[in-house]
Amino acid sequence: MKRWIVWISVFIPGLFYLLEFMFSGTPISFEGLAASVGNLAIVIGAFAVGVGIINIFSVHGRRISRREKGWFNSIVMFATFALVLGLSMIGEITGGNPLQFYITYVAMPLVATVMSLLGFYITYAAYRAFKFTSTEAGVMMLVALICMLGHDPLGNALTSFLERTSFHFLRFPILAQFMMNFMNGAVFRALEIGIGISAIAMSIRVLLGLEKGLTEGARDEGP
Amino acid sequence: MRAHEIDRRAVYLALFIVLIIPFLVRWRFPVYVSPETRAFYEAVERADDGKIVLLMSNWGPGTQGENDPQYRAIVKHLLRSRKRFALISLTDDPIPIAIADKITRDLIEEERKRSSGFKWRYGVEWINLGYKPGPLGTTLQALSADIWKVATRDYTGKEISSFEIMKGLRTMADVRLFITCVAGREALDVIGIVKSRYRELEVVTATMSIVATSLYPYLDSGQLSGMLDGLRGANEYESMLDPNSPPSPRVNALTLGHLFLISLVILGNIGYMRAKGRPSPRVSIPPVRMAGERYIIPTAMGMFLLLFLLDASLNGWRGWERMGMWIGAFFTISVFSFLFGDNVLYKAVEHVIIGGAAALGLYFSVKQVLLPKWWIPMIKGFAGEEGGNWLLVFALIPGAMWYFTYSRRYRWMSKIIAGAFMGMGAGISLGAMISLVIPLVVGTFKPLSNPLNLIYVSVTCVVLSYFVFTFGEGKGRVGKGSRYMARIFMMIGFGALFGNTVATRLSWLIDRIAFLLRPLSG
Repeated sequence: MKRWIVWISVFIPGLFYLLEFMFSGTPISFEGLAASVGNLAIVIGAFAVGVGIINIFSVHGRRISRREKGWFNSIVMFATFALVLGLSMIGEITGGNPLQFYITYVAMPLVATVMSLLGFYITYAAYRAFKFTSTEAGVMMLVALICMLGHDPLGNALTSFLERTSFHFLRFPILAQFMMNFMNGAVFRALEIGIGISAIAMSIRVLLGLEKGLTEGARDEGP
Repeated sequence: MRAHEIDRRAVYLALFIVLIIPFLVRWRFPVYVSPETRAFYEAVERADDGKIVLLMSNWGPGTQGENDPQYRAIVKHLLRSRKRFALISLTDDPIPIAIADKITRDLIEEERKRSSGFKWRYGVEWINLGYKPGPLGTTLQALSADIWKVATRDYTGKEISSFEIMKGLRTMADVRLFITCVAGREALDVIGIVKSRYRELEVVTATMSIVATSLYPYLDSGQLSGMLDGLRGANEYESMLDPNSPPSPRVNALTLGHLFLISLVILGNIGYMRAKGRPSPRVSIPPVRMAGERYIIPTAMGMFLLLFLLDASLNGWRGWERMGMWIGAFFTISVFSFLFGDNVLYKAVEHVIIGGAAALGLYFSVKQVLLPKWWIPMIKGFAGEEGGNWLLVFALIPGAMWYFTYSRRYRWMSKIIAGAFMGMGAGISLGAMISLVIPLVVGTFKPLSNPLNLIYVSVTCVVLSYFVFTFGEGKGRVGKGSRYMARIFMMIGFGALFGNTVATRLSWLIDRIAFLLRPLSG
């Protein structure tokens, strides 16, 4: 019974939006109703923010109460949470207030720097792992090299002497453009078609309740 | 030590030094403008029939190395070509809209200084509709039907009906051009959900190089009207806007980064070739370990102190903004300390990120969604005021269902609400995917009179056939040959993807280096 209830909760909203798509632009279009439903979904989705907060608090609270390894970091987490929430209450987010200061000079540098570490890692990984071990690896390496040089102004400058010759197509930017727009475009078109068809199949499976993850759980748990 | 076994820390340090050089020494090479950038530029120029440009900014600090220069170039073009625009962010993260708002206001001020008499009034020529959290598909669907219903208030919290620009912006039919300046593939959602209903709408995207690689087919099929591919795209766009603009140290740093990486790959391969015939020791990447904490923290602090003293001696005290830069530099160096091993400093700042993100998420969910879309209209409804709706009280029931996840007995009830969201996503995705894939399939079959088209179609078909398992494992000469060629073609695609991935990662790193050097450059 519970499984059926969960499946119906998946199927009805899915069918609603599918029909909305099919009838859009026709006299029986119900775009306005769909917009209202979408708006309500945004509100209901926002209620879920508490779930995330409870999870973070329970994990870090437990770590502090049991003095587990790294408990001091959990105190840092709670302190930052309280500080940022306090700053949010003080002023609005528009120019020159404490929250804007936090976002610009703490949040942004932190997140951006964590992401930038990947620049170091990819360089070292390429050095250690990008080896000419087969024809396929060689092709990949050659194309990567052409694309990197072709997209840099230096690549353009290095082969600019070919511009007015009959070999102008050998200039790095032109080769890179051919590889990226034409060859890569053709390959990714095939991959995108495949991904698209798989996504359609997956959506149908979800709507028909064939994806067991959600409904199975409903059967196994509870009284 | 062999040529392919240099210590990772030495490589990191060398890369860091290489990327600093262009900020100290300036040079300039002519820029080649790619067709996709030119098409983007022309799409913005074309958007001039009294309609409004919708600019979606869904990028945050993580990808600002590429998205920031792109966003600046786009807004500069919109301002210089006098295109009215509405800014919006469709993400659960409140930071992107704060960044976009600040940059837009700064650029308007810059343009005002650049050309006397320039005016770009908020609410008349441009507006910031704020950020709209929630599932992207649902929000886009609602937005395409009625913009006023999704964006009830602007970024500053005022009713949007009070702004003149909004009188001409009710549905997507009032939008001529949809620009997505994003860190992902949101442009495809816009094409699938919005453009499928409004055929005349043009969609262009500015995104990270790593993502752009997979979007080229949509340019070819005409679903995308133009694209800015990472930092390179931004530089090309800038060169079109202002051919005499000063050389970009970021692009030069990217070039040097590429050259450094290529040199390392060559060195690694030479070492690999030389060691090939010999019994080689086990090649393993050194693990990240809790090592050298004694040295990491003093080194990081020392670097910070050095920056601080250099800045203070060069520029003196210049108020809170400069203080903020020092704080930012401290956090940047703290994160970089992880490169030399896990340490206490990195762990602490990691938890600062978690605490800050949780607090911001909570605050903005309440302020931007629950208060204006639920609480205020509900209270107004109970008070019998105009624009109120007391029925919204019933939203508490599904909203509370999320919390049954903490009850072992009633956990299944939380699956009802999760399932409803899954179903909505599946229903919207089904329609969007059909709209996306059909033009791709139809567009594949180009006229074969052109030999290049024949190659294009063949490559697509061979790669597709690789994944059709009913053809078996490629038996016979034709089957084996086809699978081999498919692998080669895919390697071309993956090579292009790798090249663009490197560009993306290095752009992010260059952005941080530029940030660290900013105090010193004044």
